[in-house]
This record gives sequence, structure tokens and C-alpha cells, in this order.
Amino acid sequence: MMPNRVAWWFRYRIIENIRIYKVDAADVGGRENDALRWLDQGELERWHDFALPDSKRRFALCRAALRSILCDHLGCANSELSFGEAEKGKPFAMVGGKRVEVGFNVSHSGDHGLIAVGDYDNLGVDIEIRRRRRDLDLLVPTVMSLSEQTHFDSVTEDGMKHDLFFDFWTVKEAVLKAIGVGMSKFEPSEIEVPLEIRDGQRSCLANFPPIGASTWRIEILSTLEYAAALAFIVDDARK
Amino acid sequence: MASTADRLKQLISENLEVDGKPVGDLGDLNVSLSSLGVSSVDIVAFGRLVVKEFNLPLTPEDCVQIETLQALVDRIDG
Repeated sequence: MMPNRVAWWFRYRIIENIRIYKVDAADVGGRENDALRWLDQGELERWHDFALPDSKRRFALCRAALRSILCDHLGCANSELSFGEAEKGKPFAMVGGKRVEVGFNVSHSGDHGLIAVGDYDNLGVDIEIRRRRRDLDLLVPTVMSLSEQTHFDSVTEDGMKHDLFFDFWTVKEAVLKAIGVGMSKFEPSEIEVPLEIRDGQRSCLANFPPIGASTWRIEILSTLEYAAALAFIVDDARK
Repeated sequence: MASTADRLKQLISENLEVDGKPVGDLGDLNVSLSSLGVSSVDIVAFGRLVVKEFNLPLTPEDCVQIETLQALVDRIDG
């Protein structure tokens, strides 16, 4: 893609034909300028509107990586690729102005980004750097169901509580991103983390009754440094 | 008594973070939380603080949909 430069993303997992890429959004000389050359006018305006330099850079690096990955996946030139937005703001890809059937989702936290691309329309990914929060007492009742709060309260070690919060949050956010409605239709507390995941499994099938009867697959992509999850519908009962 | 804008600025200065780093002092409230790069979990957390500080009914959805911080001031004062 960019002669004489090393790409700042790489593929590291394939799950059910969904390709998952890691993006290094760190401040490494020259990358942001390389990335900006790949963005269209609308994306450059979004980049310009970010108020903080770190936020600008992370957006540019993740967006350019997404463009390159989608161009490879779809076999098109960057100039042919554009994005539209569905009703609730979920983006979709277009080639030559026509919508194409490819699912994708992007998330970044700190200098880490994740991009998932596959043939599933409903796929979502979320990543959050693990850190200590001062506001767990406010957040937990807001984003967790009573059952999840009981599980959370059973954990006594403070550091584990913070980790568990991010583990739960990224699953919820990945599901909400997959259906493309964010928090506009469902509250995070309505999306209950599957019991298998709460018990430590890193992959399971699941149902989320508030959303519908579809069967989902949840994959935990977390490391010690960050919490991350992939969610996608494997059997869409809504169709 | 401090204005709503000043109270909100103080709340932001003391609590709002982007990836664990404080946003700091905001001179202009005509910015959105997303343009600051605030993540959805931090937007929800900030919303809970606003509820507590201003006794304002605010759902997680409301928090995400606030267009600018000035719009939030207007809503609080409205």
C-alpha cells in the first residue's frame, strides 16, 4: 500500500471467516501524514474536527487502515471506496457509489485499535484499555443488570473488579455496535454478558432476548493490557 | 453562585478523561464529547456525574446524543 513505509496494522485472528486486525495507533513519525493521504474529504473534515491531537491521530490511523483492509477485501481502489450511514449511524461500504455486502467494525482505545471485517452484516468489536476508574460505583448500577451486579459484587479484589468491569462493558458494546443502534434502543444493562463468559470461557454462543431470537457468537479478545470482544450474529432469526 | 457553564467546566476539568488522560480545562463548550475523542464508556460515566451534580434526568442514550457541551448547559438551564 505505502512503499517505503511499514503498515501500522496486521491481521492476527480469523474467526468464522471474520478477519481481525490490530492497529498500532501510537505516535510514530510520519504515519499520520501517510494516513491522511488515504482519507476522503468528509473524513478529513472529521479529522479536523477532533479537538485533541491524540484523538486526531488515532482516527486517521484507524480509518486509513480500514480503507486499506477493505480495498484488499473488496478488490477495489481507494478512490472507488466510500462509506454511507444507515439510519442509526452504522456505516456501510460502497464501491463506485454502490453498497457492497461486507460487514466491518472498528474500535480503538489508547494506542490500540481493532478492525473486524467479514461477510457478516451484524458484527461488532470493542476494545478498552484496562485502567482503574474512580467512578465504578456510579457506572456499575448504570450498565450492569442485577444478575451481573451480583457477580461483580462477589469479586473482592479491587483490581479484578476493574478488569471485570471492562470485560463486561466490551461484550455489551460489541453487541450494541453489531446491531448498529448503540445505546439509542437498548441500554447496556439489557445486554447481559453470557454466563459462560462470566465463568471465564473466551468463546460461546449466546442469545440476547431484548434484541430478538438470533443466535450470537461472542469471542473474547482480551489481554492483560486491554479488554476486547467480538460479537456477531450466526443465525439471524430476524430475517 | 457559579453559572451552569462554569460548574460544567469544573466537572469536566476534574473528571472527564480521554483514554485515562484528563481533558483539562475547556475554554469553549461548543464542542461535542465525541469530537474530544471521549469513549462511550466515559460518556456514560460523565453522564452519571451530570445527573448527580445537576439532578437532571439523563439516560445513557441522552449522554451519547448530546451534540455539544453548550447544548447540555442549555438543557440543564432549560
